[in-house]
Amino acid sequence: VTWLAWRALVLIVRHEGFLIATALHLTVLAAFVLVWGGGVPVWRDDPVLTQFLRVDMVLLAMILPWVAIRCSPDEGPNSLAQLAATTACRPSRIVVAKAAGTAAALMIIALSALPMFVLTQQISALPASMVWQALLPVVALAGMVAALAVVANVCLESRFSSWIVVTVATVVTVSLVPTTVKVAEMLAVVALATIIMTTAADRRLRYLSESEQV
Amino acid sequence: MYGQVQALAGVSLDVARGECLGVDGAAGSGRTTLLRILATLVRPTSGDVVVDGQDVRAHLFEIRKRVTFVSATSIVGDRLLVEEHARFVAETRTVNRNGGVAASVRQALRRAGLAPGARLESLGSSDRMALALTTGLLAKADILLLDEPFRPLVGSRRALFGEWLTEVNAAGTTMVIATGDDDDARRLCKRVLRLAAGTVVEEPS
Repeated sequence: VTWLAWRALVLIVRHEGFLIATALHLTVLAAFVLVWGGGVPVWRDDPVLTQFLRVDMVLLAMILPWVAIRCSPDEGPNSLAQLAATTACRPSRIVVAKAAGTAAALMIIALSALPMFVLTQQISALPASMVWQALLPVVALAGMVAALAVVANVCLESRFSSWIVVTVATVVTVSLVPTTVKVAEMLAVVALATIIMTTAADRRLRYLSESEQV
Repeated sequence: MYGQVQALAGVSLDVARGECLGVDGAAGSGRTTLLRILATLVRPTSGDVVVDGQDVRAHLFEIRKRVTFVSATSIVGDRLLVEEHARFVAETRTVNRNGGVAASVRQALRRAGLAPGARLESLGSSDRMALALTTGLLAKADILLLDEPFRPLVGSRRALFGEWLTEVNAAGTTMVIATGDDDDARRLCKRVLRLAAGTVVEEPS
């Protein structure tokens, strides 16, 4: 499983879109700190760190699904079934490893903003432990997007529809769920997605599809 | 059966342990389907396939650990390097890890004449098949199923892999080689099964 996860990670990180997404993420956040380093006037009651986290979550909700779908190799059900046979691994292990590798890649993007989290914590004059607390939903978001992307990859035919479904699910979670329950909710989605992908994979990815066979 | 298409009908054969069986036939004769069924990649709609007394439907995942299927489409993940792909397959299939995987991968790539640092997406068809064969051989499975292994190979590679496969077969690996070229099959295998339109037209003797 470690090698399968490593493979998924390498294949995403080497895609040119991964660099573009990381650069875009950092540029927008840096611009936020530069322009609203003293705090956004309409969010005056919240510390800058909280405001920064809010912006980062919205940004990641749009960037991460794109990276998870677009930068992953175009491995549909047939490729995954083939990979399972080549490596003699159960398809469920293949998809769990793929989700783990994808989550690792997404966490690289999410955690690339760590220096700016520290900077906004300093500006807010909050204890350093608040940085780790603020990073928790960011890491959970990366895990949730990775799990959803792999489930969509197994269950849906087209990458475009996968991207739409994952983006909508992520944006809804980030914007509608209250911050206090967000991490727990996202981890619940990860757990549910893992159950779906493991049970579906061993059934759906056992053999090549008929269209591939002819 | 694939929908309304009957790909194979009435095919019955036994392959002894350590044997090399050739499957010869034109495109569309059902030879790839036969290999995919043996590799557990395709579920037969009727009939039985048994490996060492185990039914392939009931013991699919156990049987896959003992079987390697090599075809031009076995390589996926174009952004990997040649050495990374070979190491990945070898590591996932190796049961006994004594730190020798990396060294045996490098040695195998050298023997196959493959550049370890080349990207998979830059490989031509000869290099791709050479890599598929190399990783298939690195997997050290009991049963090796080869789909058209020689057609894409150019230059001295045909002879090189012919020799390599002969060595592996002599060491006890069972092989089934599907090919559209009767000479390739006869060069390596004493018995050749001939297929046409999904049926056996010549039994292996």
